[in-house]
Amino acid sequence: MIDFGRSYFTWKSKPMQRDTYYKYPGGFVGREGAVHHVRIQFDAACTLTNEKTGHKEELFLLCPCRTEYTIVKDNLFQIPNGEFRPVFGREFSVPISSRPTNEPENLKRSKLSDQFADYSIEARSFAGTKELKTPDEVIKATTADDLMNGRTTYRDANRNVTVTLEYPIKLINLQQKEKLFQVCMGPVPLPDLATWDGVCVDRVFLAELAFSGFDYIEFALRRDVEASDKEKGWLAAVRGRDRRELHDPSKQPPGATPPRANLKAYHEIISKGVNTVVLVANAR
Amino acid sequence: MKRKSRREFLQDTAVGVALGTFAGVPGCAPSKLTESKLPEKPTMIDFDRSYFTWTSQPYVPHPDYVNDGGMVQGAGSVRDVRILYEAKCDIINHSTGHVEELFLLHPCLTEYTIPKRDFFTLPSGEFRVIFSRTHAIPIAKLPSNAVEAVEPRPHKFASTRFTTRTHNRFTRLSSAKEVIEATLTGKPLNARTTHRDDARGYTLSLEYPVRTINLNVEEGLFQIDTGPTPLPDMSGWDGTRPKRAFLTFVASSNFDFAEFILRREVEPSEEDKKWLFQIRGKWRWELRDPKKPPPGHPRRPAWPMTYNETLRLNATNEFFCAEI
Repeated sequence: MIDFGRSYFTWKSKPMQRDTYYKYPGGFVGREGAVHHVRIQFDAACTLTNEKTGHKEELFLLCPCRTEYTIVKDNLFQIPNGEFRPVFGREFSVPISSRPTNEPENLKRSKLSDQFADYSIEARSFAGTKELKTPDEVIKATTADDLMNGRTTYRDANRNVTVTLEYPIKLINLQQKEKLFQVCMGPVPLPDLATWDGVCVDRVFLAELAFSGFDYIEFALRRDVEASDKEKGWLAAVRGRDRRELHDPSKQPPGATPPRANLKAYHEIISKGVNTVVLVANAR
Repeated sequence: MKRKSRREFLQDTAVGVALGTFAGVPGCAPSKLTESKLPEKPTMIDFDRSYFTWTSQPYVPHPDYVNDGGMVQGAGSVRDVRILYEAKCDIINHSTGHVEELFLLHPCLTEYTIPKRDFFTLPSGEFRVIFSRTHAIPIAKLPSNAVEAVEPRPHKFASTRFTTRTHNRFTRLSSAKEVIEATLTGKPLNARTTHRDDARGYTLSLEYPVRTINLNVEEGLFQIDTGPTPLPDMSGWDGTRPKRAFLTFVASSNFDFAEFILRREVEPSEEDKKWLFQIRGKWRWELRDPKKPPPGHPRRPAWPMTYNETLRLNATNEFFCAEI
């Protein structure tokens, strides 16, 4: 049972180099050669198991922050602003989708070793955990303010892959008299199994989840939304430093300008027959 | 590239900080610091183990709406809801000494409770609350210079319970070097940002977990960028509580200021409204009698949110690490 509040991914950047075109690549403001460490807490986890080979690929959804300039004394947030939230495994970084499931994106996972000079995963777990097998036990643990994780497993038999999601139960509803409970929370990293190649996937969806039993779950998937024309003016207006500022305005980078962050909404619903186990640990 | 073990990784960084680059300066070892000696506020909240729980009054069906509040269990049913803390803000009135505690709780999506299927309401929205011990504080949807007709609402629950757990052993970090070392040795961090306004007679004290932090070890620099946190709109403060609060992220790279970025809603394009506002399954605002809609029916679906406005406060930042 992962102790999400005490688990971190930490990376060490490669020495910063001057970008050919952009003055603040990646929002970095500092001297060339500088090295940054970044530590981010876990939000949720996903394990993909190849049923033929037994290979397990762990992915960790990390907590979000806002796009920023680092490390500075003023004008810390980038405006226009977006969310920075990665899904990292032990070997790969997997992009988060911005489209519905039926729209393929040209996304590919990348190797963390290509991206960072070094990285470290501190996945802590609780001792003395146990499984809750009935609504009564879930209700009792909730009212006792015990710590609970959900662990939801489902299979894709055609692709021979098993998906196991683990997440802290941050919000739960009870109706004690009727012996009912309902978990509604998130987000979790939901792998796009259409991109599964036997080892890992090339995109994940950010999803909220809800369930009121151990054998069925629903996910609501996040996607981009376009702002109305009347909002686009202020939304795209730059204040302070411009993340897209060029060293030399006469030397434009090839290709399209990188897009600004879009709005997000949870919309598409996916339901699944699953096996969910609720794990419990004492707070101390 | 050969991957280092966690021990090797930390030896190359944190221990190097303590013994190399900043030789002669105390690190974050508990024995060298003011462990658990915090005379002013001797606590460090353990946010990932703290919950607010309410018990509802027996449900009374709404006179106009079939699916009021997403409840599907019918008259008389009683619901308990337990939600994890996300961050906290205390508002201290200098004149009266009153402290209004605001708890920002984790969000979920709007839902029907408790069915066996079809949980999410569509169109969807975020359910997220800021609660004081007695009131719900509205979360702003507009920029700080736009007035919203909102007021704190007294709780109507049958009962409430705040289970605020704290770390047993913790250390106040008094330098960038200590923040860096605590980060690299995997210790949970909290920040407490305090802003005092003597002219208006209040102090804001925010406490929040530092979930994301950047370091430049060689130059002894750090920058937090974390959230969300609740930032009360003090223009509507009545001496006890604000009329609304902003949902914010906070960033800082020092001990004496904090930059906040405020969330607000954004109208989606007409093209995207077509799918975004499409009703699927039960409609949250289904009328008992379609011939008798209440004023304002139907409510506008929730719009997407973005973070845009920034606010810099002169503040005192304290950082704490838990010994686990």
